[in-house]
Amino acid sequence: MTMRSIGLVEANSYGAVVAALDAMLKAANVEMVKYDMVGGVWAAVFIAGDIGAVQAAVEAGLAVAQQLGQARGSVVANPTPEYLELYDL
Amino acid sequence: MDSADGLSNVMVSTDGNKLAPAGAGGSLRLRSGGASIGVVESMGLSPAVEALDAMLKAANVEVLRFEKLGLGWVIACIIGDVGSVTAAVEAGRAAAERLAKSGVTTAGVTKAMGGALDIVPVTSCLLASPSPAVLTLLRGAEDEQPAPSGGAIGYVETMGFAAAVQALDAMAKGAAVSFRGYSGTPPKFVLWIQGDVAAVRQALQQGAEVADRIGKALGSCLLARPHLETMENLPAKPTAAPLTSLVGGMPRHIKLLTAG
Repeated sequence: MTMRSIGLVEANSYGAVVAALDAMLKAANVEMVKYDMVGGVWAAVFIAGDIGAVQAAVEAGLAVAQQLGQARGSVVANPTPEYLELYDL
Repeated sequence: MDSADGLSNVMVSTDGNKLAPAGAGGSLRLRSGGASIGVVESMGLSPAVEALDAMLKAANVEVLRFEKLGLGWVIACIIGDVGSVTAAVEAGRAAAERLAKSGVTTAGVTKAMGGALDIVPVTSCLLASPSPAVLTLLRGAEDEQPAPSGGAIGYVETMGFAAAVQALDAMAKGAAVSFRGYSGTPPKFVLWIQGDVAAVRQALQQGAEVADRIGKALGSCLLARPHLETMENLPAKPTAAPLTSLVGGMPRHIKLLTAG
């Protein structure tokens, strides 16, 4: 069973997150798995796929989101079962 | 999840808050067998998520509570034996700081809040032997503390949830007080305690000292002889429900003045 990698882009505005999601879905073969409101304007979107695809996508997503606001991203290459269960991924 | 994992009764709400399950008799049923607690708190979701992943991979620990406290602040609490939790908190904090420094400046946040706050993007704390009060704060455990003997109450306000946790532990251990209530408007958190006047005064002092080391102590207040209505309107003690239900310190019931 291949382990899915999980990537996450979080940004300072909802619009930036949506734009980043669009860029990510177009940049590589990933799928969106979760959208999360963190509170205080921050929002985040999770994507899943192969590690190479997720890394490329998160880079592309960050490039777009950073133009629109403050953004950061995270890639977890081999998430533990607890991590996946945390977000029902 | 099969019950051999110890995660079968996990309370997970779909917005990503998680609480470790309770075992029989209210004690935690842990795979790892330890009782030390570590907390990593960050501004924003990505540092906390990375920290949690790093912590789970660094050592044999379990997730105690992962929660968005509101207003963008997220905590990741783990539990395990003291060596594992120490290693995990180090790894988690490093991971969170790496991410917290990239792409976001706290200058933007402090300006938005009038420039008056020293916000540290990542704080953490480590409790080798946490008192029951801390377990109540983090899990809403059944109240095992003796009923408070005194009528004085007081609060400590801290900048940072990790600082609040450490302060609560110091207060519960340092004096004969009991944990009375929690309220939070992140990144500021307020903990109420109750006991004798001398005990509460001592506890507030110790709590503020300890909080200063981890985050910042913003102040404390001692009410030596509170009015009955004040007592009725203190914020509630945490339960298993997400702590955001206590954001802002809304009392459980709202008293309305009605005509007549």
